[in-house]
Amino acid sequence: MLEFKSTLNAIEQISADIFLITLSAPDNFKPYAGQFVQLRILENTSFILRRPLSIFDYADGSFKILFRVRGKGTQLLAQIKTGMQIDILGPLGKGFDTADTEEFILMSGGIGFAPVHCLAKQLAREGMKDKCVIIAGSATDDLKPVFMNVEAQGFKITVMTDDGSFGTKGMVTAPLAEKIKNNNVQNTQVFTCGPEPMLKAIADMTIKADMRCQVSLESFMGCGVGACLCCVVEDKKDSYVRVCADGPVFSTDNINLQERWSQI
Amino acid sequence: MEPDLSFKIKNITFPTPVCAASGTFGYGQEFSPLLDLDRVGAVFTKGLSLEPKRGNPPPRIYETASGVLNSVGLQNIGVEKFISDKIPFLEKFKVPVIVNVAGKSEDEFVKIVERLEDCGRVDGYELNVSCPNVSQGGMAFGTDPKACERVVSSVRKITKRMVAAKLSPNVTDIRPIAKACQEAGADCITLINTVTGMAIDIKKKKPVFARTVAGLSGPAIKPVALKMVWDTVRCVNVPVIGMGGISTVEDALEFFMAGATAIQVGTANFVDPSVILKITDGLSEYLKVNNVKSLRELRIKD
Repeated sequence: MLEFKSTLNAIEQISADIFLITLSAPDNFKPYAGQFVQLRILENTSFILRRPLSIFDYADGSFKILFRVRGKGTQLLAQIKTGMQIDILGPLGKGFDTADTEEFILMSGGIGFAPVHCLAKQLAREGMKDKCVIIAGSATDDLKPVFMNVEAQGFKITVMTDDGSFGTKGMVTAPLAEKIKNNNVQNTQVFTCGPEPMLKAIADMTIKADMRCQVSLESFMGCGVGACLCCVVEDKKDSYVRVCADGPVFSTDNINLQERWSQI
Repeated sequence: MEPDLSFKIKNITFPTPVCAASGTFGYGQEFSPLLDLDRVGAVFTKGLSLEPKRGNPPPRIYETASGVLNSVGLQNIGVEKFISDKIPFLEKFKVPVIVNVAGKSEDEFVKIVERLEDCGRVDGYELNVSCPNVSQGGMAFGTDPKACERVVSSVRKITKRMVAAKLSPNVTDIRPIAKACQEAGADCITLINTVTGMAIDIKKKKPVFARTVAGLSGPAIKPVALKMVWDTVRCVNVPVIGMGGISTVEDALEFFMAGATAIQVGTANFVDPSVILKITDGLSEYLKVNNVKSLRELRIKD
């Protein structure tokens, strides 16, 4: 975990409210897929909290964040110009655990694609691109350029949209159901991020199929490092665990998605 | 020559007057990769209750203009697990450890302190009298001078260590409460705790927090905190440790000029994990540049 000043090297507008930024990082910034950063815009003075944002991709000396403009923080972030500095705290949290898995089903809803994309790229670098299947959902075609880019890199990707404007009309649970029906999923694990109803639906399906599944959650955060206990969710043992430090990735064995308070 | 920023309360020598506020710093471990704990004036731990406490359902935090509302609900691991799980980590450092005691009855305050008396690493206690008191029907101790007096004097009887009373700002006049705590034997007054507030989610058309009420902290509350510190300093003669919205060395100087002996920094740690050190270095610089020997000299005379 480091704190460092990062330079915005590139900003690309993907669609009306989705942006992809490339940030500089020191050599000892070594994230893995599923981790996030707490981002502070130095020019800002009116709101105080950092914004927790997933790492979309990383390489030596740089990393990327894919975000949707939702409120004050992301609105300001979308206006930052290249060359300006941003303060970064990270990498934070427990990311995806890829151990003991032979086949990877990566699923996402909307901007939840960000950490899932990071995992896909990471697995590809480890020589496991062909063991990966991506099922990406979105309400509409707002993430089309990103999905097409992933397909161009040779990943197996199925896109589902609510309105049918890109890919196939329908929900990501449909291709998952097919996979479960037609395959031996014993050594397969699902890795997913997206809206809570989607996570709940996927969790229910995987639990029923006796499949392992890891979900990446989000929450309003305070410190982001596990000290303030503001970002909690309920686990299966009737206690509260921290999204920033015990997560954001949780196994469906260990988290109570039913009780999740929908905040965002 | 480096100015000496240290000060003493009871038998504790605080290396610097900039401390970590309870609730924002855990028990010291989480922030340790980001700043040298031995350069912190003191760690005021997360509030401890006798038994572990689950805390409130989320959401527990909500941003406001220049501030933050929180409703954590004193989630903590309880005094036994603090001793077994957190003390070993703190043994590696010399930073003064002041345990924030969050009882819901006078009896619980006493039991928690009794148990901590056996723990050598603990240097002192900060009594969180902003807790709802069950025997008075949920009203915070901190709004009733007599309730504060009872808690402080009961704890005073069982320890020779530093006993600080942490006051709630949600009162009409802080002075009778501060005086009651001093008269009951408090070695120090710390203030302020969070200011009561709330937020409404206009999309869901209901309060953001399950309990409706939450505590406001951050730069927005600094003027409120500063006035209460000013008033308290002028009505007690024990050291006053001020907190509430401090995030820069300029903020800190306001509190020292108001007469605070030391300060705590809380919410600002979320924004800048090494803010405590930045403020400390800033104070050192200020004393050197202005040829002032000690922060005590800065207190405005009235």
